[in-house]
Amino acid sequence: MLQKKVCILGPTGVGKTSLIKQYIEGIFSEKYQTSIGVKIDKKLVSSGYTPVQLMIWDLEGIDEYCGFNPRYLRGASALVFVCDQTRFSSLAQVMNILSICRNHSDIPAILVLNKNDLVPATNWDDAELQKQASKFKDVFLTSAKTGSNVGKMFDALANIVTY
Amino acid sequence: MNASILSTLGIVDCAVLLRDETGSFELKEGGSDWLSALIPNAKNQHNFELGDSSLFLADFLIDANQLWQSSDQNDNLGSGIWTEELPQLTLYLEAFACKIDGERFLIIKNAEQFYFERRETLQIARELSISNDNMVERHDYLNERLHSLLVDNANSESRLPLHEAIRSASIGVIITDHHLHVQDINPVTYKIFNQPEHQSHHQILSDLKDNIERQYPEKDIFTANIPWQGELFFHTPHNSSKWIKVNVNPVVAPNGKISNWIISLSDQTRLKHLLQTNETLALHDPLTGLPNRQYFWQSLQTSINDESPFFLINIDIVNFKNINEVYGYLAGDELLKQVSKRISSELHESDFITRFGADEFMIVRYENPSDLVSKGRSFEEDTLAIAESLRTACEQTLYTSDFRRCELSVKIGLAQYPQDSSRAEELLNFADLALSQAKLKSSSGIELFNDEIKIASKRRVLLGEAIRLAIDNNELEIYLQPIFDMKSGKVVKAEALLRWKLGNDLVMPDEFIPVAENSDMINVLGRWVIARTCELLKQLAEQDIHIPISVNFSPKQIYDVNLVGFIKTNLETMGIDPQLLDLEITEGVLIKNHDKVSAFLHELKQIGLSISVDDFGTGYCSLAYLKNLPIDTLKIDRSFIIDIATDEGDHAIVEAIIALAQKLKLNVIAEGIETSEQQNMLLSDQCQNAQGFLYSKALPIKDFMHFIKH
Repeated sequence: MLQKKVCILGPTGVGKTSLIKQYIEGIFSEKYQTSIGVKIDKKLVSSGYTPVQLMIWDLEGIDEYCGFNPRYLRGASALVFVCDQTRFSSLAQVMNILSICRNHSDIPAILVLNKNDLVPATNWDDAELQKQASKFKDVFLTSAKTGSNVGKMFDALANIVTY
Repeated sequence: MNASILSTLGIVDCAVLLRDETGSFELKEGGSDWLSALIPNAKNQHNFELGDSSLFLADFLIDANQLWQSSDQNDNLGSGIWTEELPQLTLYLEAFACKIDGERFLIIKNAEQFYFERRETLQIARELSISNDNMVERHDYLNERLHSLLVDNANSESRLPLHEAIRSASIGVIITDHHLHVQDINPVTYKIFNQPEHQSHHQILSDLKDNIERQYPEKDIFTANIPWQGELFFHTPHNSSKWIKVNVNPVVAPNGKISNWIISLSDQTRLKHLLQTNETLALHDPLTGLPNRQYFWQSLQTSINDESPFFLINIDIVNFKNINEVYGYLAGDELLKQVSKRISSELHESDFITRFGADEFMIVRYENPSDLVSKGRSFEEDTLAIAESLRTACEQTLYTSDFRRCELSVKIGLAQYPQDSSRAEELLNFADLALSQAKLKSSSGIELFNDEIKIASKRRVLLGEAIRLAIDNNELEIYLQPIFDMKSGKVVKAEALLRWKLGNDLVMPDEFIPVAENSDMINVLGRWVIARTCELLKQLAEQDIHIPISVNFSPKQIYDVNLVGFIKTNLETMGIDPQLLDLEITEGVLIKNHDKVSAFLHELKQIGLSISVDDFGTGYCSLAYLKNLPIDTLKIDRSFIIDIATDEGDHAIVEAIIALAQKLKLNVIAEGIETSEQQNMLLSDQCQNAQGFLYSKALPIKDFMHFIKH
């Protein structure tokens, strides 16, 4: 069985763990619970070019309390950057993390705008998003709460890592 | 490795595995049930492989093997915490690889307790951080929107769009006129103050102002006409209390006067409650771990009550905002942590250091008589020496985690208790004034508060007030300094330079431009200069003089919305060929806000203006900018011209700039030429254009016309 490592990165509170939980277990919790350290989940994806076991590394949100550890990117085939569309500043934070990652790895990256079930931030700037989108292989609007586009995003990820 | 060493290291519930040459492991210490669940063979086999027992551990072993194979005899490496989901059991673990006297150990620690403690603390901290980000974004967005509505609808009688915008806002908003009379107030504001909507809004505003003045006595917001944000603590009836985040923003009308105030408010009580559940978070800055502003005030008052002499040292990192923009916020935070450590390492244990603002540190430094005797210095001499060592420490090269080099500049202001004041707010205010002076004038970057600083500060306040009336009182005048073709000696261009006659006093731009930049008047002045320059171009054209005039552009003007439209309208109204107007920007402007500046310059270029880069060579401008931005002219900074005849380094730089400009097909102007020696050197270097006292000083328009004609 083909196995591929993918890392989920982003600022705190954007819904990285919730996306994985929704994808693996199909459940969502309204209560925000911060992640500490790393947790690895596995999921077999058979929908793409070839069946692949995704090893999904859920990394603690990067902020003033938790720095970025480039060691965790080793061996990864793709990176998923998650931001929260109700917090415009989270896009800038994602771009920041992306630029740090690019010093260590040039593997494909996708951008996920999560919390699509909520109203976007009033100051959300689509022009800025368009500008940054070219730095990613693909962009997905998802909701970990409703599950909207979550499966689609991971399927696309499986295609990227097996292509 | 014995258990007592592990216990000393704080590693209690752990398993110690010894790795042999073949890569197998042997259990040396520990062996709880969780280890059997993680590595089933660990307890029943003498030698075992880790295999695929844990994906995370397998990955960590790659780094561990490197460490074990290194020549270093005593070294160690940590994995960080990870969660291992096993059937019917979740483990929270951390691994360490170490080498002790050549033996290779893998220690796996049960980090469950640490995991939950850390999660509990960070849960609060991160909820706070997210809520705070949300709140700041909402305040900023609303302020920006209301600001443009107020400016755009200044002449409209209908206030409907504004009223609608604040009515639907999710945070409290009060709009006042320039006299602070309430013009509009939204329902959320009443809700925040627990007042019914028919309650007098005057009372709400008056309570708000009283609280700002009482809780932030060092700030003088409504008379200084400056934007301010902070938190206020309110006692409300029925013994309840509230924390309210307040943003106060003046709106400056095109005539330079304050037309309105926008006050936005949000209830932070829940956030504060969360914060207070953790005393450490409440009184310490989470980033640097240093005491915060609230802790500082408590400590400062205690120091004053003790009546022992001390110095207040105010350290400010210059333009730290730019560091965040260039390196990113994460790297910025990292650099702040490094700076705070460097500052702490220069101080005595008895000194009190606090992170006072985003990029500001405040130190209370106490007198230590025995230390002073041994050094043979007075308290003041010793503190100035410490300030110097703090500056040196902070300005030494820093590196981000991805090894990007960063140089910071810091400025330091000092005030002394009890000599300068024995009141906490006043002392802080004086340290702040000394810091402002250090930023403005000090070559060393360190200033001790004195009476001259007090006088200079009063003058800045006076200028700040007077500059608002300067346009209406016709006190401003534009002088033109000719720019010459070095070969033909003809005037080919002129630079517009602003002069301000305040009574009998001639105030120079280097004094009043910073004042204008700090008071939002810069956009008003900038627009006036452009409008007046267009008038001058028309006057010159009427005299059959057709030469371009360049105007200086302040970095702050980049935030003047619709400036391009304003320039276009003025050119059209006066019937001026846009090619006759040139905008001078400094290198600093190009570096900061590059995307915004690039869009702005391309817009100007589209309407036909030309662009010059002023003070070229001083601002570390990336050469790529010169290629990608629509620049026409480089102006070589006068600092390279002064010693061009005697300093080979300066001469080499000038030659290089001229060569660069020729290759990029840009014009070159040498600024500040005062001697014929400088002139001859530049001529031999093939410099095209020159400006300076050797040719002509800046002249009033009549004298300029006379100069050109004769």
